[in-house]
Amino acid sequence: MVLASAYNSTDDNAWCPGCGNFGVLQALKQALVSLNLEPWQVIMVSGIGQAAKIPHYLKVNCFNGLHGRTMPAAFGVKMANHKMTVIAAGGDGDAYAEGGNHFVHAMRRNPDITYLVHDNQIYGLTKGQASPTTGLGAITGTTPFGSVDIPESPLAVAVAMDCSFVARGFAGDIEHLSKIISAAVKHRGFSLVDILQPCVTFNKINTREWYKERVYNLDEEADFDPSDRVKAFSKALEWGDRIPTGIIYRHERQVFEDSVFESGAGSLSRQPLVPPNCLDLMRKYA
Amino acid sequence: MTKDITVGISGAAGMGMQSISFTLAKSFLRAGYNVFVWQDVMSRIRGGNNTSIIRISTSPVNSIKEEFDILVALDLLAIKRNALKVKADGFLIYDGEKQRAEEPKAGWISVPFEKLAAEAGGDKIMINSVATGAVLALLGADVITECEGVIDELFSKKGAEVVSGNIKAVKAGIAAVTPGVSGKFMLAPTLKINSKNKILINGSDALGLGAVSAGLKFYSGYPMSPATSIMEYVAAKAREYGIVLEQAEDEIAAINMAIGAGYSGVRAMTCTSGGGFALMIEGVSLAGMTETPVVIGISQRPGPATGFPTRTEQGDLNMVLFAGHGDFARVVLAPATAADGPLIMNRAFNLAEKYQVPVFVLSDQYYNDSSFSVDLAEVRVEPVNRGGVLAEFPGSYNYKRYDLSAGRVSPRLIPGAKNQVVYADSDEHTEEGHITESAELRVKMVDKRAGKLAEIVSDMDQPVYFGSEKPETVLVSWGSSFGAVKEAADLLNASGKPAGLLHFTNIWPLPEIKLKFNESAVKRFICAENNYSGQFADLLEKNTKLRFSRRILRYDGHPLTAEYIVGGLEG
Ligand SMILES: Cc1ncc(C[n+]2csc(CCOP(=O)(O)OP(=O)(O)O)c2C)c(N)n1
Ligand code: SF4
Ligand SMILES: [Mg+2]
Repeated sequence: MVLASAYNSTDDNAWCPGCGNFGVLQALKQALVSLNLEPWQVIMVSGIGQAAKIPHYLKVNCFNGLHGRTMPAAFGVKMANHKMTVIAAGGDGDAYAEGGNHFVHAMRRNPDITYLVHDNQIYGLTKGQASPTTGLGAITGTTPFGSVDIPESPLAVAVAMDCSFVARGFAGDIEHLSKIISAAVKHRGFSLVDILQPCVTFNKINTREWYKERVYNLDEEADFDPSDRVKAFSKALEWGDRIPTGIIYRHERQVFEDSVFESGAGSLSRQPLVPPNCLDLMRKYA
Repeated sequence: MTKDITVGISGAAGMGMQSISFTLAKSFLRAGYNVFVWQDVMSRIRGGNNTSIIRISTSPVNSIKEEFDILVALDLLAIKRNALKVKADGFLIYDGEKQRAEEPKAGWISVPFEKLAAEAGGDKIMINSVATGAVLALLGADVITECEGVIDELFSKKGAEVVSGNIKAVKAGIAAVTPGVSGKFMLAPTLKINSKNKILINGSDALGLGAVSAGLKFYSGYPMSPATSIMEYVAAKAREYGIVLEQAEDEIAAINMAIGAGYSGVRAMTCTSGGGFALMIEGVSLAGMTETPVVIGISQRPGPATGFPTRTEQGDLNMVLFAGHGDFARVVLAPATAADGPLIMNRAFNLAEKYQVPVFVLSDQYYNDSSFSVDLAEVRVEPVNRGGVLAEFPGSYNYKRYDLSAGRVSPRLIPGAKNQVVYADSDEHTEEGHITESAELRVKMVDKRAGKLAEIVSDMDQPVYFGSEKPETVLVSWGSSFGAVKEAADLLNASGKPAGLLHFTNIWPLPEIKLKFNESAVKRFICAENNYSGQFADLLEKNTKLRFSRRILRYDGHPLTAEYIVGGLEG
């Protein structure tokens, strides 16, 4: 049995009091405990932003790389350690702007990685500029007359890319979020969890209350079937007065690792290094 | 008798020049000669004019010549673009029935490629074998047995008829050259025994093979000439040697993937050319900051921007030396020939892990696409040395990735070790790897990362020196220019002008250079390199006592040659 305290970090937390990130941290901790994983069995990969600091506030292996480059780094990590649990994390700017291209291609590859995107619809760390999910008309540091670019729907992009697990969580509902994260980690294949995360300092529109009034749990919709891609697509697009949370789309498809590793093979990083003889390779050119 | 011959095989892309040069090169290699092949190609898949340049010699060759003794022109454009490069006493072989050029000149030999291919081989597709035969006739060399062997290996999959048809086509090509001309460039005989340990391999394969034999486990890359062929080599071997290879969505992804794998404890590499490397640069500083081993192969081509995509240059040295923001240590190596490609790659992976730094292997189109004859007896390799890599660590959650008490290179634990976690961070960090705002730690960590350079120096090889003990002229070169510059030094010595070549493959950090010749005799140090400004000369002048009275530079997309260098010494 792993205790939640096993995951306690020694690092100072730099988030603003009341930030939605604390909810995500709590939910992630609970999920890891419920999955009975020890800290050393988990590798987190993150980018740069407020969200991307999350691995430091847990006790896990961590590669905290560059802004936007979370997905490629996580892919390299997973290929060397495919027997370990790899969880990536970052903000909406990290994932969908700077890392937008990588995000799309990660879904094509379908490695068994869970991606937690703390979506506060704003750039937090750089103090309040528009992000790809910032609403139309929102006034931010870089959009003083209101944002004119239409917001991206990351979930719709994910369903369109046939991402094998697509979900939305809300940092204000830790129990539900923690269940979603557990399901995402358990799912074999690439899992996107877009998390509505209130930023109390820079996003005065999409506040905790704003989200609370709108979110509903898909589990309460008896006839919703997350394996139906067409229905999932329209759910993914639902935004405004009602915002669905829960698993929006889920299906099985070939996991990248299965195309390169034999079943039962251990992680590459744990294999002894015995390369082929150079001269033997060269003799083929006689 | 001739000891050194250059044959150009020219035609439109897709006409099979490379298969002719390969057949010739392999045949002569097996007959005991030294061969070298460079591809002068345009950036297109069909049409245009490409030339495969093959040199056959009784002594070692790693460079080409400016002029051809023999030109095989497979179409009219090949004649137009290359006829002037044929020496006054040379020959131009063409198909007079198909390529109605202007009045044939002296030395033009018409061989009806297409007709003979159809008659002798039974298929006009065998034009290439007829042309091969015509060259063999002029060289008067008895390599038909070797040639038959090569053709058999090339075509046996297509059936015995194709093999015998091609052999007949070669013989028809030989017979088509009139006896008066045949054997005009009779090659001096050599002993077949010379071929016992010889192989024919291009630079890309030598690098790919070097990486695989160094224990490469993860390769990510995005196609870009002339680096793509390294990726394709690794791709072909990936299953057999348990390597994960992935074509990334861009070079940014490629280097970040490789760094992720490097952090996780496997040997990882990405290769690209200058333009792709420009995209990787933030990743270079990520490797520097996180102290993650990674090998980055850069196959140079002339820039800036898309540049001269299929041609050669050594113009990205500065970029590689300075790429990445902030101060941190790096290593730059540049192989001279295919023979030292594997050693350079072995070293690259060893140094990357030993010092936990990015290591660059700098080659170019000339190196990657040329086929070198390599004597296996001369190939050196370096055994795997992973430095302070740990699979387990005693205690419980007490490991510090950037432990300062251990010196500049902290022990590197592979994540997944029981009861330990490994934090790597692109922010300035504590010894544990957490984000820090401490000025005091900042200074210690910069000193750690940048200060490694002083330790790496002790592992860097001295430049090699060839030539006179009392040289008046010392030519200095780096990387793939070796063959041409060595030949230039040999030419000077042969003409009674004492000269030597000082050649570098270990480019950065530079060791304190110990000269192995009598310095007082030297009248001039001259740096010869394949770029506009003399980037390596600048590096040496800034960091060593060497000073150059002249720089011989070439940046027309072609490699340096001995003639070009000797020409540059005059005037
Ligand atoms: C290459 C690069 N460009 C820009 C930045 C500056 N930067 C750091 S975080 C960030 C955006 C943060 O927004 P988000 O990803 O949504 O994370 P949040 O802070 O909101 O959690 C930017 C632009 C950077 N670190 N690196
Ligand atoms: S700026 Fe916003 S996202 Fe960042 S810590 Fe503060 S409240 Fe949270
Ligand atoms: Mg954000």
